[in-house]
Amino acid sequence: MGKKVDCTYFGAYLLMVQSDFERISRNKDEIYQNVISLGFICTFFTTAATAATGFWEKKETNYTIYFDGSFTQSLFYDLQTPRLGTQITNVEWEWFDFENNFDTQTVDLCYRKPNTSSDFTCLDISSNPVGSTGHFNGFDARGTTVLRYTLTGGTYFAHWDNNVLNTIKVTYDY
Amino acid sequence: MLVNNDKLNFEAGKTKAQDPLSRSSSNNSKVDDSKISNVGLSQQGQNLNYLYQLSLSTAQQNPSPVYIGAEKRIEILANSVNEIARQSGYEYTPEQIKRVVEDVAKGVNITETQPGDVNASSGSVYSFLHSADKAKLANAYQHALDNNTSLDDVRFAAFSLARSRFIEAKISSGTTWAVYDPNENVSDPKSDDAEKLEAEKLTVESGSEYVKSLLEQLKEGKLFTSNPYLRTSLFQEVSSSLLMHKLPSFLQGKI
Repeated sequence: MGKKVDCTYFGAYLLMVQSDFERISRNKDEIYQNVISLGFICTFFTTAATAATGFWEKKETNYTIYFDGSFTQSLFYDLQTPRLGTQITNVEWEWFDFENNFDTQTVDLCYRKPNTSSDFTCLDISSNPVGSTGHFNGFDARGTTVLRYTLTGGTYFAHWDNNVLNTIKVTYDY
Repeated sequence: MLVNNDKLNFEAGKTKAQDPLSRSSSNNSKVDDSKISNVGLSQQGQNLNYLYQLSLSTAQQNPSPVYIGAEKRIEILANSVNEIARQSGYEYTPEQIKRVVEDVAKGVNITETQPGDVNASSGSVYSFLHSADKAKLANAYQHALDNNTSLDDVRFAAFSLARSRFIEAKISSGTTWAVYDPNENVSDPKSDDAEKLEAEKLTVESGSEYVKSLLEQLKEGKLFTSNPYLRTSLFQEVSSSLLMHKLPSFLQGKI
């Protein structure tokens, strides 16, 4: 796994070099010429470096659904994900059924941006218990993924077997 | 408590019985009248309690669905109480029947559902139904009761519409919405026919026998044929969309 070269280091370096030039020459044209040159160097190194890839995978149980037509949700997130600069490149899931003999079970996979409590975007994945999607690509991997179940039909209360765990895997670049 | 002494005029009889002055000063005929009155009211109280208990038990065993609205639920409950009263052989006044209906409605918690919260971690999609939706569902439900047609069909249509209203509310609050396409990551796209067949197979393989029967009805263009109130474009659209894992057309324009 390569390590991404962060241009902010070069930015700081540029400022340092710039102040040195100011002290030595006081020639602004010369300073700017050198700054532009270093900028090109920065761009070159950034492009040449390969972006790193990471992932997190979480397994969670689910909650009881008490009435026909009701929904419940479980949250998946990983605070060990780098704080800045991550971008989701793929999301995979595996979800299981309630065992209340439902007629219809809908399952939504939603994404919440970091430090927010409302869904930014949702994907109805009811037809596929296992799958992967690029629907969330580009979003911050420190965000929260929500798995929401809604049931109709069958018997209630609809309890979840706590030995059964749904899985979400988020792959990201940084 | 249902049997209220005030309501049944027990107080008058009790006061007379407990008042020694009244008793001592009263003549024999008055005492006899009081006894007769107490016996009569006691029987009436027992009859009323019987009506309440039986109505409550019936309402608990056959709860009316929340998606038809509180007003309709109370109307259905009142019909049930009246029927039980009629079959009991006892005479009840309209005021007594009304009182029993009110008490049973409290007992089984018939209240209008609060508007849904799109950010809640749990809740009911039925709370996202509009009042006009509930009125339409009430008609469908009443038709099913009167004609002994499928109540499951009404429930499925109600759930389909409620689910659509939930998504509509989410979209209105700023959430974008999409339905997963299993072929989105496939580099070599299949033909349209192959995709349709696969989607159909997936849909049929999931869900209960009842849902499978609905899919068969859908293929034949005969979804909910036994209930004309469910043959409207709205219920057909939302129910077929749910069965086929699609968004109804009125939501597709909003995403």
